[in-house]
Amino acid sequence: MPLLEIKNLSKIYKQGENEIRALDNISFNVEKGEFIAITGPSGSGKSTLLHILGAVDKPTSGDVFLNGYSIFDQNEEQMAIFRRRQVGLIYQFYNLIPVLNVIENIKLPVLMDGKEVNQAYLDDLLNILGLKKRVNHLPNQLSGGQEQRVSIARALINQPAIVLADEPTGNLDSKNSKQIIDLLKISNLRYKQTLIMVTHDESIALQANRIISFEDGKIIGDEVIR
Amino acid sequence: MGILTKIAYKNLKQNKRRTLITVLGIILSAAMLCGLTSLVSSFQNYFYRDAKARNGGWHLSYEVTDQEEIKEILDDPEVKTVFSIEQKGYAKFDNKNTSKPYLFVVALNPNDLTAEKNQEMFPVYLKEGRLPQNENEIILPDHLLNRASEVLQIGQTLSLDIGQRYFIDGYDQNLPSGRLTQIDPLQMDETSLIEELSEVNEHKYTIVGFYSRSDLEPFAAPGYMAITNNDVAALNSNTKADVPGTFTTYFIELNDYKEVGNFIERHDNPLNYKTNSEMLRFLGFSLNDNVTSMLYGLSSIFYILIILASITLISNAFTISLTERVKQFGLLSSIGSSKKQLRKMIYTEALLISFLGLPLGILGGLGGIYITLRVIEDLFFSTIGIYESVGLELYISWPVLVITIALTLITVLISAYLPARKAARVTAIEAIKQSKDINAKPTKVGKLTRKLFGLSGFLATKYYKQSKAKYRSTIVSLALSIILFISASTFTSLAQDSTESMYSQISADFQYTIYPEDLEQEIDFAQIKQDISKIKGVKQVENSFYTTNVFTYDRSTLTNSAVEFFTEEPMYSDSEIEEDVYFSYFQIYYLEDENFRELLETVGLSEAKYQELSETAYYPIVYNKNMYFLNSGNFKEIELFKNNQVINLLKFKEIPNYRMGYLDSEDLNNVKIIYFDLDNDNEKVLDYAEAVISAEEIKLEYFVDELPSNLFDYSFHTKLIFPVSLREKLSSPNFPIQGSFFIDTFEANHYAAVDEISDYNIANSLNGDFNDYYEMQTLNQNMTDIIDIFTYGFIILISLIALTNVLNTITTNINLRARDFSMLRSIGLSEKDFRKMTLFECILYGSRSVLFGLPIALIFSILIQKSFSNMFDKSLFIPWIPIIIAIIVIFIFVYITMLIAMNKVKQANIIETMKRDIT
Ligand SMILES: Nc1ncnc2c1ncn2[C@@H]1O[C@H](COP(=O)(O)OP(=O)(O)OP(=O)(O)O)[C@@H](O)[C@H]1O
Ligand SMILES: [Mg+2]
Repeated sequence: MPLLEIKNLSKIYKQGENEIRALDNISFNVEKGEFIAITGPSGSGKSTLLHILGAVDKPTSGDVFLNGYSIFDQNEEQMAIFRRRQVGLIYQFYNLIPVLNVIENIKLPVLMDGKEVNQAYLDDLLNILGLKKRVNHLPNQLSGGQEQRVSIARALINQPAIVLADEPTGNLDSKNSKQIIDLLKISNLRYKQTLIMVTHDESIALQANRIISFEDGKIIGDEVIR
Repeated sequence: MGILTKIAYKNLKQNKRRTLITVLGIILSAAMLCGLTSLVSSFQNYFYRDAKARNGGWHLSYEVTDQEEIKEILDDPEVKTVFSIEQKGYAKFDNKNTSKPYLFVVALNPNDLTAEKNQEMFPVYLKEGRLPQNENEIILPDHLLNRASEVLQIGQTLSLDIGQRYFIDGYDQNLPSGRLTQIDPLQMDETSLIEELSEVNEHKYTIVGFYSRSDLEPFAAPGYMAITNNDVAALNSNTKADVPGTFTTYFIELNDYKEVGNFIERHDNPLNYKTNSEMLRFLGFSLNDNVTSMLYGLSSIFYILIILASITLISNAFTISLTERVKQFGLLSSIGSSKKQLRKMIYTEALLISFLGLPLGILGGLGGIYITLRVIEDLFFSTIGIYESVGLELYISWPVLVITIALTLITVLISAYLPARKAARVTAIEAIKQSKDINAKPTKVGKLTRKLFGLSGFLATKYYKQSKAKYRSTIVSLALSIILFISASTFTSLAQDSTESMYSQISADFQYTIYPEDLEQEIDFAQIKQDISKIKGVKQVENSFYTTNVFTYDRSTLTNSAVEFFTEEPMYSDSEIEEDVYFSYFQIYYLEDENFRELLETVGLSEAKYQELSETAYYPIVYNKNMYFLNSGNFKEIELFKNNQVINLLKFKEIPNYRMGYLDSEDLNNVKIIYFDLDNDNEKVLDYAEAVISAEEIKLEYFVDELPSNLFDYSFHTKLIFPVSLREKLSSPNFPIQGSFFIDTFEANHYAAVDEISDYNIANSLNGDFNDYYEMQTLNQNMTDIIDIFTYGFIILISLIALTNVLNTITTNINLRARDFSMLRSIGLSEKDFRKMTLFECILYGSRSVLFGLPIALIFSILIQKSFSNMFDKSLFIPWIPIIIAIIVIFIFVYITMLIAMNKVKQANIIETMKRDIT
């Protein structure tokens, strides 16, 4: 059984008479441990898909099944736990809590579970993401790239089953980009994490197992590379 | 319209909720300021018109005997109107009021003023007939009508011997005018008059009317003021001089009342002048009396409260919207608007809002007060008004109104300025990143918080500590609500206390007490009761009796506290007649059977049981509380007797034509009783043992804490209550028995019944005294109603301001964080955590505002109590109940508001909210 089953997923925005089909009847399966790159022109619905997979947005129609169970059939409480434990979402825009410093922002999902943070893992993350010297800074004292790295660390801290990354390297220089992609890849291999990443960068896309291409809310290509 | 004005206008339109709240704030503030000022000015104006209607519209008056003396004064250009009367003098006139044996005849001097102006200067309110038109016509005050010995009628002729009042020889005193005037009461020594009339002339007058007693006739004046008119022809031919040294009073109205002080100084001469002080006081001329200082003290406290409330409400609306719009400011300045332009934009907004809110607020305030005055008018007149014709009218004091408008505008501008300054101080990028809003200092979260509230507590504390500025406005609003509520409650309870009468516990409508004229007078109380019961409008009559008896008691019967007290303060102790035996007078009440039965119930005795007890001894119901007023001004309450004691009621030997007078216990070995004859002229001295013929045992076993409602407390000492059946057995011929009838009436016929009882009293030549509790309570009730209307109106309005404020700040604060909340939810914050966080923030808000608001509230409470104590002597108190209510309501209100606001956030789509650009 696939880890994720996406069935006839549509997201339609109504604006007066106009209809914007951000997602137009999409179906595909995702196996456990896959690394999928999603590409496509701006406005083609990539982010929308990620948000729905992360259960922070709701589809207009269609459904997503995790291990055979619909994620939208859950109640609010179960949804919250799903978001906390199963998914790590890295947003295209960086949403950090402005009153919490770097380390507190990263720890948030663990704290929500009332668990202790795996200190060694946290140190690893901070090292790889180059945030060691910034742990006590508040979000508005960080650069755009640093903010993005904090949100990556936050997505990974709970070692979620699924990592959804929306252009995680969009704001970063090539050296930093490489490090982050490597981190995600290692994580993907070591913990058998499923990684779905939106990217415009051909070279990054080519490192994935599988590339899905979007246009106007539709899948126009789905090829397994390796 | 410039581009910035346009943006300001658009801002208002786009932020409808904020604009609405700000406008509402301005409307409420302006309405309350305007309402309060016009309420004060309306009352002040009413009192002014009332004083003017009663005393006349003059500012100053002079009394002179010689026209030359006043010439210089009358020629002063400041003088606007002059009205004069001639004081003809006093004439003996038979009437029932022994301290008012004269008619005081004054003559209106003809002048060229209109009839209205005459009336304004020297008010005369005709009840019947017409004004006097010549020197042979006269009008009399109506209060003379039922006191005069003969019936007075219009058309009747009076022959008066008019003269002047002087001290009789040997009693001369230095009087400013050499003779006695209306302000000098009738002069008497112990037995007889020491004044007389001289320079007497006879004059005949025809009565042409009766007028309502004028306030120009002082209360203790010895003469009823009778008014005639001087003959113009006689005046012109100067025959008026036939009574040399007649006083003429000149009433003078100045062009400007503020000149009164200067005028008096300018004409610094020995003339006898008077100011119309009551009227001038209400024009604001002098403010040194208690009522006005209380009025002004209280209204300034409320002014301060309203202004505080308004400033926080309006400035909160601005501060919050400012944070909402910092980004916009950043963007505007990043594309090149100057700081000056930004400030101008905010001011433009403020003014636009004011122009919307001010007129509505002013109209609302005036309209509200107009309606309030109409509503309370009837209540008010039945309470204090005398000349209803003056009417309670809305009086708008224009200068005050202008000040109100200015105050509101200044409030709005200051409110707008403070955040505008803040916005202008940050750089464009700081504004866009909102970096100045968050405190960069690391904050610690307490262990307890972590333990009790976990992550929610941690997050809430972080928010609170890192962005205090946003919370401050909410906490200030909450604190203000506490302050307002406690101040208003203090005011209400003080106002209600001051109107609460000591009669309110009395259940009867009317009390009629008959005092025997002397010991000999036999009064048939049973017959009187029967007669009164038959009067129409009387529902029920209860009769109780009051007298005094003489007792002896042993020291061992006293409570420890009594023994202690008498040792410390021997002057309060009863007289000792032998070692440890005391002689004392106690009050005895006799109750009718039914009332006594009720009393028995309260001490848990059945009637049968009491009957049984009475066979063996006398068992009174005892009220044992004694109040001793100490020299220090305090008083001490002491229970005199212990339980289960026996004291003795004494009977004295009767000596024909003598009665027992007093005890002489100077020499303990030789105690005596002194008897007096009925004229107090002769006395007889008897040995104690000879005088006392019997001592009945009285058992003190049944005590009550409160006197029954139909007994009136004549003193503050021990009282013994018996059934009326024992009256004959126990009473002593030495002490007269008073009978009190406690009468319940039917409301519709109350006053008719009272009149009839009063007639009954006169017809039967009884020495009666009346207490109309029904009337007192009606008046009290009216007063309380008026006060309630004002205070509850005030509380409601000001609570509206305060709560709008809280609602506004809390919802905005939560809305501002909607994005953060969504983010937290997107990474899995659960419902439960969310609720916990709400609760924790609610506790934060609540406790901070209580901590901050309560001390200030107490200060205001004390200030209000202080300004009240100008009028009523009261010790300070802490309003516990309002404090508790305020705290509970604050927490509940905050929690509910937060829950609603949070719920809205919770239901929103996560990703939509996160993407939303908050500007
Ligand atoms: N709230 C919304 N209301 C209306 N239309 C929306 C809304 N959110 C997204 N859209 C539209 O849905 C389409 C898909 O948007 P989406 O954010 O998924 O694109 P994307 O593929 O992520 O683009 P990019 O590469 O620029 O990030 C776009 O055309 C966008 O305009
Ligand atoms: Mg996108």
